[in-house]
Amino acid sequence: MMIMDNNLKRLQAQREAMLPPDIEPRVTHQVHTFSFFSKVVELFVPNALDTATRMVGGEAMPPSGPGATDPDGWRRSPRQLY
Amino acid sequence: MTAKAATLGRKVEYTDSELIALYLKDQNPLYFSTLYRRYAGKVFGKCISMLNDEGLARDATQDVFIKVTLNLAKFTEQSSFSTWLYSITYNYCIDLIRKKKKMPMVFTEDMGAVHKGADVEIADSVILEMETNRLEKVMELLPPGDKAILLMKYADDLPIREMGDILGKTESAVKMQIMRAKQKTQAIYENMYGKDPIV
Repeated sequence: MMIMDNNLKRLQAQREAMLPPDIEPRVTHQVHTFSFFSKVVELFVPNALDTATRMVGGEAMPPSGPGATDPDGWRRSPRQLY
Repeated sequence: MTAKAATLGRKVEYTDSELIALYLKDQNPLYFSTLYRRYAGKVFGKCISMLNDEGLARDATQDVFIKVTLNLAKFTEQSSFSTWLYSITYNYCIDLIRKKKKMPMVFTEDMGAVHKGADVEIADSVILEMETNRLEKVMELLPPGDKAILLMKYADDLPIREMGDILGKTESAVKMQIMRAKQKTQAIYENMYGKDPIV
């Protein structure tokens, strides 16, 4: 807690108390929007880039996940794989 | 202010650093709201002092917090979160004043009004004990850089090194700016209230 040992601090405390309540919803709305778009980017951009790479004739990203290192994995049913 | 903890939900308490880490990990706006509630008053108070206008201060507070959201991943914890937030606030306000008034002068020194022989040490009581209403009027007439440096020293209790980091100045330059700002404050007071004693 701030110790009010001078008049500049007192003046600042008066001003801090004047904070309008309508700023918070506006900031929160913006933060929600940023969170939403960052999640969208995280989910869809890697796949979109991968698709674009394939469309221009490039190689897709190396496979990842379980079974990626097994060259014969495609022969087995998913149940056997996992 | 180094915040020790804040309440999020009912029982769990988090420090600033924990809230930032959780927000960056989960992107849950609730964590950011807690940070906002902890510091919004401080940021708004500084914006009013710097800009002398409630409407501008309102917009500036919103912009500062949005800037913080966008740059939170760059916060390295070399300083406390509050110092980082205040540095964004002061620099935002100074830039806004520069743009609005088209004035490159931020400190008294930039205005060329200080003579080299006038390096007289002024007592802190000039700022600390001036009557609040008068202090408010005198502060309004100070150049933005001087205002920021006095707020950092006497309202935020920031160490000289951190003030230098915020303003991009050396420690000796900051000490000189503080002295000049106090001289300017006294000069404005004498201009407004004559020889009426400050204390």
